[in-house]
Amino acid sequence: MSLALNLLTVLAVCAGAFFFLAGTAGLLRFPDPLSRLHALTKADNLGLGLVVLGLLFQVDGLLAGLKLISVWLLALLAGATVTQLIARAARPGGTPE
Amino acid sequence: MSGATVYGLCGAALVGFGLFGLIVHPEPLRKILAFNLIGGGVFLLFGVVARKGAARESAYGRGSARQRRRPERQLVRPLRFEPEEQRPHGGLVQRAHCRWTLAAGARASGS
Amino acid sequence: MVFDIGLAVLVVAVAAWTIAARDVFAAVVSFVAYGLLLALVWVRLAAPDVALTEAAIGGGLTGGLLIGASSRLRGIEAPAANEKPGRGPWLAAALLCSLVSIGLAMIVPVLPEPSPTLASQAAANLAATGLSNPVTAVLMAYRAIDTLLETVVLLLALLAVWSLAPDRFWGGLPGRRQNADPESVLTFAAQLLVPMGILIGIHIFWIGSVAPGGEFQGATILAAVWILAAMAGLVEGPPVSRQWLRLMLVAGPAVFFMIGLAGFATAGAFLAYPEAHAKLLILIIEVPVTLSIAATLALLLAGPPERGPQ
Repeated sequence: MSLALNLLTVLAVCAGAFFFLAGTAGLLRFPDPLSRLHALTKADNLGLGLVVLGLLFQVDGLLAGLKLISVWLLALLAGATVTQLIARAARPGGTPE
Repeated sequence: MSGATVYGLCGAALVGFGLFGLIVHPEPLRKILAFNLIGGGVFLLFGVVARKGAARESAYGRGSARQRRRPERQLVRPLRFEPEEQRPHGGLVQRAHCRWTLAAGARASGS
Repeated sequence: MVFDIGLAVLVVAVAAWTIAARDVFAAVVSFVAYGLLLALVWVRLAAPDVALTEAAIGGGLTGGLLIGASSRLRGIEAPAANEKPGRGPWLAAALLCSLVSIGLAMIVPVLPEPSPTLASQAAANLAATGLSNPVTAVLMAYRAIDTLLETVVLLLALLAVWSLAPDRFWGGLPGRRQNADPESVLTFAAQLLVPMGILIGIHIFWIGSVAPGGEFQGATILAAVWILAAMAGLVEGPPVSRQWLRLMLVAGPAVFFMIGLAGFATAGAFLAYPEAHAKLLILIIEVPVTLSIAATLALLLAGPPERGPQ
């Protein structure tokens, strides 16, 4: 049973790491800030979700699992907020004054 | 070579890089960044000395008994629990006291 | 172990990029990344309190301050480029710094193991302070004088920032005016994050007596929440001449100092606590200190007043 759990954890975390790699590739290769932000938010948040999913198999209680999920949700929310702030400054028209 | 030694070398390298940036860059903001690097390296060296010292204890937990059930499955894996510290009750004081009592016989130096 | 080596190499590489980057903004961004990686290093060194503080203040607050500073300095940095050192001084500096690094690196493997330390005494006297977290005990009981001076230093830094305001804006609103579109995604996300951030900040402050946390980390989260609300246009910064704001800033160090003076009468030394009431006194100190530090950090990040007091 624990072998199956460990295997699932490794698979999910590897998938998450792959998505992080994809997001970083997008950060490095995309031409302008807005598309780079898009790559970062989509790929990195999915990567974080997969990593959290993998770690959920290793927790030893409901509270720890809820903590992991709330970490993921907070990272989503914080990422969305910061992306909006950066995009406001980076778009072709500049920050609305 | 333990993990703490690796980070000690890292701290030494940070002090070197920071000092170089402090000397070479004319702009004040770059000098401030380099100075912060020096500070980070110095703190890392302090932390390494502390780690080699008595701070071999494991992760902090709450004082309550609920979180102490299966410490080997703690999420923060690198912070190890020593087997003899798995007490079903008692907060950090009791665990820490237990550890220092065990280690006091092994260490010859006072401080 | 492999992870340790990889992390150490990454930290040194990011630090080297901070020094070697041509553009100031790139250097600041890589400094923020270095701060976050350093937080991971502290976790590996079994110091979660330091890791929390490094991530919050080193990575978050200092990063915000430096990004703001780099954008303000954008036009002024050019003349300083003429003062770059030539080949000779550059090589001499590199040689000197390599010698310093190698000297320090040679000390590291020969450190006595276990090193002399006061941790056992700190842990032995923990019960007297009523706390379970030895780091908080060091901050608030054994070395309370240092924490008191830290809060005063933060206040002095804030005064220095305020003194940069033009005369006509003295006592005015800090920072530039933010346009708030009440229907935008940013406003909605900020409205979701602010209550959660306040809750998390208070929790991290409160839990500092038994687990990693404490007033500096909690205060930084509260300051960040305020900054977020200001940047989303949800709040207008209070004019810095407001009485209640100045009272909130000073309350922390003042209460700390007064309880320290009272220590002469009750326990015989400055900042000594009578053993029966140690926990209560520490709590009475911690609450105003958290509020003061949160206000100080938020105002530091907001900058000097740039608008009149309405």
